[in-house]
Amino acid sequence: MFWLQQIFNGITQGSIYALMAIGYSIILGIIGLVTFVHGEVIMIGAFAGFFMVTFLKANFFLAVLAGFAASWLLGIIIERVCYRPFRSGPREIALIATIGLSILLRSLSQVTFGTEQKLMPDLLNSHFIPLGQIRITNIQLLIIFTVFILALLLHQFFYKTKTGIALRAVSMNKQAAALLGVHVNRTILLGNALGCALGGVSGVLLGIYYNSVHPVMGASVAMKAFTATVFGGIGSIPGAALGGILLGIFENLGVAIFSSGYRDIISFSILILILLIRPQGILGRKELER
Amino acid sequence: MLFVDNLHVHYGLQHALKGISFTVQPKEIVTLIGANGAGKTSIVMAISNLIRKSAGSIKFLGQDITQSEPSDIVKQGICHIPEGRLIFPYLTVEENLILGDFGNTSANPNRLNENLDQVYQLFPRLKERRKQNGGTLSGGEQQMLAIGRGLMLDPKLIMLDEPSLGLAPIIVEQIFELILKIRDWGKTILLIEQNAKMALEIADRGLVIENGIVSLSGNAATLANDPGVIAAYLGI
Repeated sequence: MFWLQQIFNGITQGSIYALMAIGYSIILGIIGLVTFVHGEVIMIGAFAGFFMVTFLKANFFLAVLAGFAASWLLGIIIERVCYRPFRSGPREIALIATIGLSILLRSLSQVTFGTEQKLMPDLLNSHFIPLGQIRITNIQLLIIFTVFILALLLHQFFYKTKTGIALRAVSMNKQAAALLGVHVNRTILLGNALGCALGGVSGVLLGIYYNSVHPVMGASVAMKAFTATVFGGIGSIPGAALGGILLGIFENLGVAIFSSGYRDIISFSILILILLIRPQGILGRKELER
Repeated sequence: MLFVDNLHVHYGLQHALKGISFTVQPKEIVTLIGANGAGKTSIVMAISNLIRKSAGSIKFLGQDITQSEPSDIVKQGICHIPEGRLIFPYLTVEENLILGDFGNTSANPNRLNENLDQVYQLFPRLKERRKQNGGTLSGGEQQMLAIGRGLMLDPKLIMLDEPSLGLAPIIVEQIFELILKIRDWGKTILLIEQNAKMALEIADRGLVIENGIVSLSGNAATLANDPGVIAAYLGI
């Protein structure tokens, strides 16, 4: 039962990682570059949720919406500042621009929000729901439910709408998409905003799960998002979701066996192992055929 | 319908197109033939504004499209089916076709389904495989997909860049028959081909491109009997 409990905790945490990794994958696909600002996107989303709850006494749904909206806006800014001006230049410039923006955002938040950890109010009247012999909190259920619904909506969006198909097409080949009359610049902007918005929601969920938000929380969660993306397979959105959940489970099992201080060591060992054994990840595809 | 006037393109110091001028009339098949590197692909890329022109102007249906955005040129009704087909390997056949609808400016709300039906009628093979990923199709089927995707636009002018590239002779023949069929629907076709013999067989007029200039132009049948063309391109 102890192990079942750990696995369930892992799934909860993993579903938050999954959401981050899905957002990360969308950005990676549409921009074609890794981003270093994703951690700060998650942090800003978490703070947007925190302020909604603390000052406006908002409910769970509004907090999630605030995280989504704040990070969506940030995504638009990131695209304008870091990607669009350098699209025809060497790719490293955009990469370095995201590092710069990440440092700027982290420092600005420390200045404006303060450097101390903020307590997220318990807005859901957290309590245990006994289920057989494992104990589940209502918050855990709500987090899993939220991620599940978002994943379903995303699937519908990407496979059933014209805009979703255009996003996938632009991720594969921008020139071919432009030749068909797809507005490539607008599609890239949308993809980046959407990926960031999902990061923002995961930030809010993270804040609620751990009862706290912090201006430097981004650094380590961004690495988790990256690990989950690589684990599942770069370029595959279902892979990112699977990678996130598996990462959460492994982390929690590892913490149960060793100690909670080893959490990051466990996930980054997984990253290194995956890169050594199966660099394309679980569901990843080999190089694109053109 | 299409007027290309004194088109110049430079790739760095390389002067690739040195003043190309030609016109395409409605419902014509005009073919551009010439050796590798003569500048045929550069001409269509310049019309679609995918490469920078150093000089010249392009008019389509009376509108100046010299500096229009590539996606706006598509919306004017010019469909460019590029060399190498550029289908999306990880999208299904149907999704590839749906993408062809993006440039379609028709106000008909049912146009997507109507055009899909029309393309499936023309290519029953694509209908059979509509749930399959584009990358799993054979070369000939991919070319059909690229043409079908272009037709989703309901274009006025279709620019086909090397549709026979890398295909078996029997498939090439099918593709060329199809081009004739599409013309009979009332479409105008600008065909870039290295397979000069077949291109001149189906075309109304031809232009021979050599080192960035039009070295010869005229009726396709006349060109096919021109001793210079026979020696250089028809390989007889």
